[in-house]
Amino acid sequence: MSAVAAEGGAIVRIAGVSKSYPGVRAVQDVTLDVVAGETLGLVGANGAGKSTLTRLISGGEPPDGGHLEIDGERVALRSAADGLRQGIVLVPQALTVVPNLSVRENLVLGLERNPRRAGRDLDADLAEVVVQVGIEDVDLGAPAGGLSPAVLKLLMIGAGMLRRPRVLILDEPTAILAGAETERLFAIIRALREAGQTIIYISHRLPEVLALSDRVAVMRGGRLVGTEAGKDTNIDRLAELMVGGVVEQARAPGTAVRAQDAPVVLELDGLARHPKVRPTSLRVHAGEIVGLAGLVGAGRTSLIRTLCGVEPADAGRVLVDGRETTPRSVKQAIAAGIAHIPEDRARLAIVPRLTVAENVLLPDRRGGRALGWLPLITPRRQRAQVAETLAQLKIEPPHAAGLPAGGLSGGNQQKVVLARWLMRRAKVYVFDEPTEGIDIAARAQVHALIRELATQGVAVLLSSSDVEEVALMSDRVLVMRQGAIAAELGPGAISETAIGRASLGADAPAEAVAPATGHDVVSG
Amino acid sequence: MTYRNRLGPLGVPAITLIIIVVFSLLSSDFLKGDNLQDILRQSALPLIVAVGLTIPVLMGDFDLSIAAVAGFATTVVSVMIARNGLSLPVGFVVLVAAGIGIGVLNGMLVSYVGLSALVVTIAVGSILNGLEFAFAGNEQIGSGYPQGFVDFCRSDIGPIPTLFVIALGIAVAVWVLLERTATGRNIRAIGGNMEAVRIAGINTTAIRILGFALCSGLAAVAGILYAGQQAVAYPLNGLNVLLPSFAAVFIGAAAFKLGEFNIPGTVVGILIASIINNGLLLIDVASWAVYIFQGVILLVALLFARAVAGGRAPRGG
Repeated sequence: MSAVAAEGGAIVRIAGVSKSYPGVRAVQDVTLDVVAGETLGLVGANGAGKSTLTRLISGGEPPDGGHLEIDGERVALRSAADGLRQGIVLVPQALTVVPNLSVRENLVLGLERNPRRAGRDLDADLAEVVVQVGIEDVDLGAPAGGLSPAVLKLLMIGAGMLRRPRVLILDEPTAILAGAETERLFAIIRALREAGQTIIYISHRLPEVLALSDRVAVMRGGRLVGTEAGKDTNIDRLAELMVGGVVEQARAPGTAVRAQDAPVVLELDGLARHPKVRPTSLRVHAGEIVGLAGLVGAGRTSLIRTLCGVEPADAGRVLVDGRETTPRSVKQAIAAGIAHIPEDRARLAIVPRLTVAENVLLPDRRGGRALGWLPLITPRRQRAQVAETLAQLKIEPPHAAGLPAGGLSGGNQQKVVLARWLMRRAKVYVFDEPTEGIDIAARAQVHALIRELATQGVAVLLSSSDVEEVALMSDRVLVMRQGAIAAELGPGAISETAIGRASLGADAPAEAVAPATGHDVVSG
Repeated sequence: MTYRNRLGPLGVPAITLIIIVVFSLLSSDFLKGDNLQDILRQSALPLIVAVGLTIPVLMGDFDLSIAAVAGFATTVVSVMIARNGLSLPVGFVVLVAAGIGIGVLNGMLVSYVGLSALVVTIAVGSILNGLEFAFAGNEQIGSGYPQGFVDFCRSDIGPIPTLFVIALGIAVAVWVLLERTATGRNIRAIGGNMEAVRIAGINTTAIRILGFALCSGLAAVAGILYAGQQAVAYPLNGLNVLLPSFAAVFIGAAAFKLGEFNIPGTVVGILIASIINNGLLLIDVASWAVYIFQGVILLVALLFARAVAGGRAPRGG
């Protein structure tokens, strides 16, 4: 197919497209041609701008700058419907299937009014597409709700193919699939490609992108940092482009073992929050980083919110340094020495209209050092008070202290939240998705900082849905499933595969997943 | 972006200037010293109310009971000191306490129970209107005010009305509270991201109640001073302050701290509202037109604040 790709003209030209959100330049000046008949891989780390770029191409959002050309003509897509009319079809990562409609209804949903289908025989097309995406065995009259994730994904691709797309965009199609299901999907995608379908294939899994793509475009920090021919590149080359030379090492193996002998700082004893968290017990030692893994919805965030006093516990105790402190409010948790760095900083941590200094000092009851005997604070004194911590965290720009926090990039906003809790010197640091949506350099800095905290002897509980992050950072990993800790992975047993399989509840080799009977984990 | 940046800092001063020029052309009396003094006199009490209103509005909570609280204070303090001969300090303390109590009630219903601020404060306002009538009966109170109180409310310090000086003092005090204390920082923070403030360990419920309490307390202060200024009271004929206060607060969001409610902005907003009101009376527009203008000013203030904020803040309700 690569011969066709080389000869074909550009169907879609992305010309200097940019998109910013408050605090984030999601896509910056990206220029890229999509050639007729090719499969173009699009790779990048979390937050590199892949999803935003696809929304710009498919009309889901208008770009701030630059434009699109389709067949050499400049177009302005005002909505996803506009994109569909131009033949650009996005198959999103999430399973967007209506469960109570039949398979057939899901396939043809919205097609009645698609002008690209005018004059076509829907039933004939349907029969063809069903074979194309390999779901000819599925009962078209049955409700879609009962099908497996893999079949639903094929159904979504089929619904896309029924629109006779010029360009089919597949956003992380394998994200939710298991091994055998992935192979089945690949076979379908290869067949579509042989039939001449133009595909943009988005993934952060490099081997599958390499196996499928004629060309691979690499994004990093919102920019296009390289476009490689599939046959001339390799995983190492792509990985280097993706991370930009930032390579993180796992912690020295010895530290984890030593931490096990250190005193227990944080202990949960049957802590429960119905219905999301079943009674959960765990211990974190001084100087230890304990990873908390599990699928989204496994109860990680609820457990953390309960332990940090954001939501009240229904049962159980929280102990810090052996003293019972079960917090009934955030205030009590802070007093007990628990620092909570929540997920979704824009919604839960940052006050955009306050200055960076005010944000850092937010938990301070006096708002900073008072002015003599008066309980008054001044912006200048606040800036001076936080200056050292901001410099230590390399928050950009250097004079950020007096600026509204809302104007900073995602990575710098996250550092502001870190600064807030570093200044308070807590005994326990609880991180929830600490590097969600921040660039790779900031991510490495955040990771270094978390390690530094552990070295100073605090207890760290780190929850993340980024399996790579948990594997990289943790001395020990607890895997949650359905509101309880389902597995513990000790030093030596931690790997992305082991965490992934334990999260899904898949049977794993005995040496990789220890049953949840260790003295540190009691769940039920 | 650039148009907004230009509109912001220059917009409010430019509009103020245009209004002044128009009225001075339409009426030769407009720029005379006596009239300027009148404008300040008319601004004083609405300024106290609008400064108070700025506090809950900063947190996204709208208080529509302010006019009813002020009217309640005017009538009931008149009943106490003019009709029943109680001393002024007693009346003052009782009604300021009542104002604060009403604010606490509003605040608890809104932030603790979780009811809509708009509807709660409309309901509480109606209850106060009824109570005001019940206390006063259907009779005007026109005599018996302590002369010292009346003289004080009508006096000037140099060319500036005493009440305006008091109002400015209150504005400065509230500015210090908002910009130089942790409580004020929390008030501004709640308007920006209430959930983040809660997760940082701050009692947001208490702070929202405090906001309503300060707002109602200041409305009561304004109502009491209105009794002294007028030396007459009749139920449901209190300070006309609802629309001018909201207009002032929103005009304020388009000046100084762009897109954010702020005290200096509210002060300028009240002056603009008073200038327009005064000018309309000078050029003898029909009294029905004054109502129309008040509504139009409020709408224009909203649109202007929205334009400056770029469609994000300010909001509320």
